[in-house]
Amino acid sequence: MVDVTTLIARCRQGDALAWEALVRGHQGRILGLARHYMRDPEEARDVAQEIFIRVYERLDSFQGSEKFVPWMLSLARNCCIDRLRRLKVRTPDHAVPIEEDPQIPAEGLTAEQDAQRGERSALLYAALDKMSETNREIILLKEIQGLKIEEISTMLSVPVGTVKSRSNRARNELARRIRGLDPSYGGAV
Amino acid sequence: MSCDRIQDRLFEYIDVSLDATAHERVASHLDNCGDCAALAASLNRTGAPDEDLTRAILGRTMRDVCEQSGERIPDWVDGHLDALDTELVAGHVSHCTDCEAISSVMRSMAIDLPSLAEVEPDGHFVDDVMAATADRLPDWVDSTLAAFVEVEPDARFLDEVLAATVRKAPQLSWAARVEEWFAGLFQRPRIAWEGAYLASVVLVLLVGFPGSPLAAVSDKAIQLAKTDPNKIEQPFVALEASLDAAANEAWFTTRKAARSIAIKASVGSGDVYRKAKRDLGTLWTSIASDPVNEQTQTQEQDSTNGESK
Repeated sequence: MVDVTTLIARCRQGDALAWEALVRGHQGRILGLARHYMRDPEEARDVAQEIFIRVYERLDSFQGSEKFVPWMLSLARNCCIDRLRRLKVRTPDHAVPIEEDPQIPAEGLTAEQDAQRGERSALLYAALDKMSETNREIILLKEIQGLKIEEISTMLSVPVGTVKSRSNRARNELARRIRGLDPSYGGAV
Repeated sequence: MSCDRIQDRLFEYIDVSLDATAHERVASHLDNCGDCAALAASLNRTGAPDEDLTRAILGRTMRDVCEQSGERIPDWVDGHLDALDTELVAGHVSHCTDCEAISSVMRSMAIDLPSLAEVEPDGHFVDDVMAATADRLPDWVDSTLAAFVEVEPDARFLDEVLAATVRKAPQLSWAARVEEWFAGLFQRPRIAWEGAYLASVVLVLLVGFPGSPLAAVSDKAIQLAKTDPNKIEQPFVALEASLDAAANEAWFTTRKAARSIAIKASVGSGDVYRKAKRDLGTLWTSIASDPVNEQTQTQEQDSTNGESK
């Protein structure tokens, strides 16, 4: 896979193929983030498109010294929040139908393993759905998207220590909710 | 060795902290003494810890053990704790089924959650994004094109440019430089602040400095401000009265002087009048007594009578 910095440099020169490669390389991640925020597949798709347009328009503001994924996810988060503010609704009616959520299939898994993975994902989604918004966002950014504490601190404009304590609290809440939904989860590990 | 001495050393014997000779002696005594052997056996009994007792003790002393453990379990699962905390958390988790279960769930979460990061988009998503961005010309295009034509100069380039421009820079006269310096001084945004600061310093030096000529001004001003206004009016009333008196005196003096001047003037004019009157009378008398004048006067009278006839 081509280095992101190279792709961005080519994008700035107007190379559409580089832009397409950038979109293809990050669309799943952006869509995943948008699904978590929007909780509605159609809204998530629309907002994901908006996110990429915003990324495209602001490629010049991206500094080569910073990492692209946190920068992009920060833009994505702001975009999602803007959209949610416009919608001003976030009712359970818009909750993501978990069984319809098409995850990227993992390579090298048998059908049975894939089914188990699907069940576990469904359980995680159900537990996440019951969490508070603050804890849910921390889980989304740190555990799911894999951002570092410092990156989340910058993104949310809160101190590193606060992010860390929130993260621990959120993980505890999620673990207890998962255990409440399925006490056998984690037993096989 | 007596039983008492053996029993005193039983704990060390059980902990195997006696030297070899003493250990051997205690062992041989225990082989031959049933009471001491029974005591050693009871001391050596290490059963499983009573979990209920532990919980009862913790419940009456430090109740939030699981809560504190929960705060550290995420870092323990991630392996971010130091050696001491790792041992403490591991010790708690090994005896607490709830925390053990939570830690197991967290380990599974760490494996499963990252798989939720990406979602497979539908087949048209990329096409839609490409179509949406194709017609847009972002603001950074101009700067990009500008950057595209920029060429990295070599190290000597800047030196050469500076040398060339400095050599060709116009030489200003001394007066022009001073004028330029003053213009630059007053064009600075800070000049107002600096002027205010300078004025404040001068004011303080004039008024607040003990040896300055205006040092007493501030005290007098404060004293005046504290004075009753009714009392302040008294000096002005006295001043007004003295002014009135002076004005009256001046008026009387002036009027007196004017009057004497006028009297003198009128006396002088009377003398002149009287002298003129006397001179005129003398003149008329001399004219009337002159014979030429009398004859001429008669002829003029006759001719006047003839014409009237």
